[in-house]
Amino acid sequence: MSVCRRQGRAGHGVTMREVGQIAGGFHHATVSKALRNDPSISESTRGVIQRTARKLGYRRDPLLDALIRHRLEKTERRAPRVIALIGEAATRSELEASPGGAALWCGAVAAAQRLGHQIEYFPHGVGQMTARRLDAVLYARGIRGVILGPLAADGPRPTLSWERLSAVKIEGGHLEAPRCTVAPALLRGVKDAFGRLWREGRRRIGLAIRVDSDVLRRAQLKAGFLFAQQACDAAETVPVLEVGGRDAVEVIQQWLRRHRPEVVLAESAVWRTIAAAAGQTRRRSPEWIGIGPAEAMCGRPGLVLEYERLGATAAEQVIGLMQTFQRDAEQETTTTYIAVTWRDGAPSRA
Amino acid sequence: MAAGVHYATVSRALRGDPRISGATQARVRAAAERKGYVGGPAFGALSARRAPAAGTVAVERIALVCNRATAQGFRRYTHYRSIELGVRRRAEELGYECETLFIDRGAHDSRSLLGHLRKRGVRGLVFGTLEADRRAVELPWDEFSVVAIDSGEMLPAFTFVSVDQFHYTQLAFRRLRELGYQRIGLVVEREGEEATGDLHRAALLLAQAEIPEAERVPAVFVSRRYSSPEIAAAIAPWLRQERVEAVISNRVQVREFSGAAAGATLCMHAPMPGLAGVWVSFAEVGRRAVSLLTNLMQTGQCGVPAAPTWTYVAGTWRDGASAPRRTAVLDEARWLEAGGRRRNR
Repeated sequence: MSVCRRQGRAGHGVTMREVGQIAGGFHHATVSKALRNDPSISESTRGVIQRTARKLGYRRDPLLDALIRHRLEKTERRAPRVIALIGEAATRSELEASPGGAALWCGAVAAAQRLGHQIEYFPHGVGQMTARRLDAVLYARGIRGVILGPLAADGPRPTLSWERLSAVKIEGGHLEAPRCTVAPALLRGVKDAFGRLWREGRRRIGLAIRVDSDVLRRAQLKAGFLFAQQACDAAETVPVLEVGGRDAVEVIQQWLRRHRPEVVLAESAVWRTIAAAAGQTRRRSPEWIGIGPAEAMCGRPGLVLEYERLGATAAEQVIGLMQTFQRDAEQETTTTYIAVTWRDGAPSRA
Repeated sequence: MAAGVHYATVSRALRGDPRISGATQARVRAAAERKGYVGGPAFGALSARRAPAAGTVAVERIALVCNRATAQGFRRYTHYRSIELGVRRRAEELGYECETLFIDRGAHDSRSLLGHLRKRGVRGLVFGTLEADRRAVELPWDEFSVVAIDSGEMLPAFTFVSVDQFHYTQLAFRRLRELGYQRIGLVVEREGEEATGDLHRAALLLAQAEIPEAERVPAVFVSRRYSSPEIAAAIAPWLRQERVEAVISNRVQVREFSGAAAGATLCMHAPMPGLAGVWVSFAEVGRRAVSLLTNLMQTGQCGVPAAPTWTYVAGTWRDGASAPRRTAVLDEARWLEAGGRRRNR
């Protein structure tokens, strides 16, 4: 994306060619790369060129940036820029079969396409490419943008060359890098859902999450729930149920017996275990409200996590980072939350 | 074209060129609206720069808008200065021209601001930050790409950027526990807490869920308008009754009202020697706001988004003398009790 301004036009400051000449005879393509902090240019050269550009008052032209972006979006490229979507599934079709996976993929692909990029799937995890190999592949392919899909808390952690890559992760609260995160706004979501149920006169509202939910989702669910619970009397307070481990069924049954929840907000990932446990008790089962991707809701009411928007936002952010030349290692840690939506459904008993 | 005129006429009519009669302009506009034609504003500006108007250069302009004018002390507040710095730096890096505008007594009201923005051709706005009890702003939002830094109470739900209150409250709480404090109290400004999603208190409840019930101290609210002595007076009974050992607050003057307890701020945005707390970079918040804004502008997204996003910039903990390791405090207390004679250990 090396664009030079035409020389000698009134009011248009310095050009890349001029910067190159004055900095010591660099080609304008080198200048373009150096100003974008491209690691393929040596650090000392980057320094010289950036200092010269600053001294001469070189300015990027946002209109040209917009034009380039527009052209990227409108024209078909023979070799579109590729962004890597990294996930645990062995193949893309396996990813698409996982809950939310298809929506995530569609969202990311559509957004990337709109912005003139292409998404390609790369597996990473047990029995898949090691981080080192993956890193080498990305480097060899010239891929500079990475989206890290949702990864399990206990899986291997991809250590890639973050100083080279523009990157965004989806959820993945257990990972230090990439530093930019896109996640569903579950804290708000749960607070609102609780409030809605409370106003409907429901009491003894419970929350059931996976044991690793706090790590992956930065305890957003628990925090929102604890906050909303302040409205309850102590007698109506139901503690959070964390589902996982070998004695999960027993723990669930005990929790149901002891706290007799009337309605339970439950992450879709724990439904199967809960259904198995609840089926074995004679007690009237509570009403289950889902928290999960749309297709996992099975007609239940609940909080729908829009994986399509998560994927799209992640792609937009990565492209934004790539186009403004920001690599992950230079980033401050930020999290972008996307609204989750409440959906009414036909209430069902697990 | 539905209006039955040449496309050049359409182009001129949509730009309000006087060579096209008023009737034709209206007809073309109506047809464009019917068909859902949307001009890319960036390309409008791009073609404008190609026009041979001597001495004029089209530039992309954005504005930082605040509702505390310089005369009202805008530059006395370090967080404003940091935001302005971040916004300007990032705008410059990306080649945008940026001006700081004020909605305030003696400065703009909404109408004059709109006039100014239109005249200057500003298409992108960063609001940072609009204080709740000061002048409000109301613009035809569809004309602008907007990013809001805080300002939750004052604006519709635009793309939102702020410091990570949820994260920094947990960070401070856990760090103070590590330093040996058990009864940690949160003092938070009432205004804004709801508008920002009650993040301070949600984070507090979450952190408290991990400690014994007997050590949990309920949060206390103060008004944003309170001065430090007023806060000190308001929270004194709470400090006593709850036997608070360390106070965390989103006020930076926490040392002025934490009394005998240790104090840590959640929102340190300027060097404050000896103050413990979470360092947050408002310059980074400003930078991030501009990055998000230029993204909106280049993809032609204007007005209030259908589904908002909230972006939070994380902070980092800094130790300080205002919250020393607990053993030292206890030692000092014991030393004072013993009449000031230092015991051999």
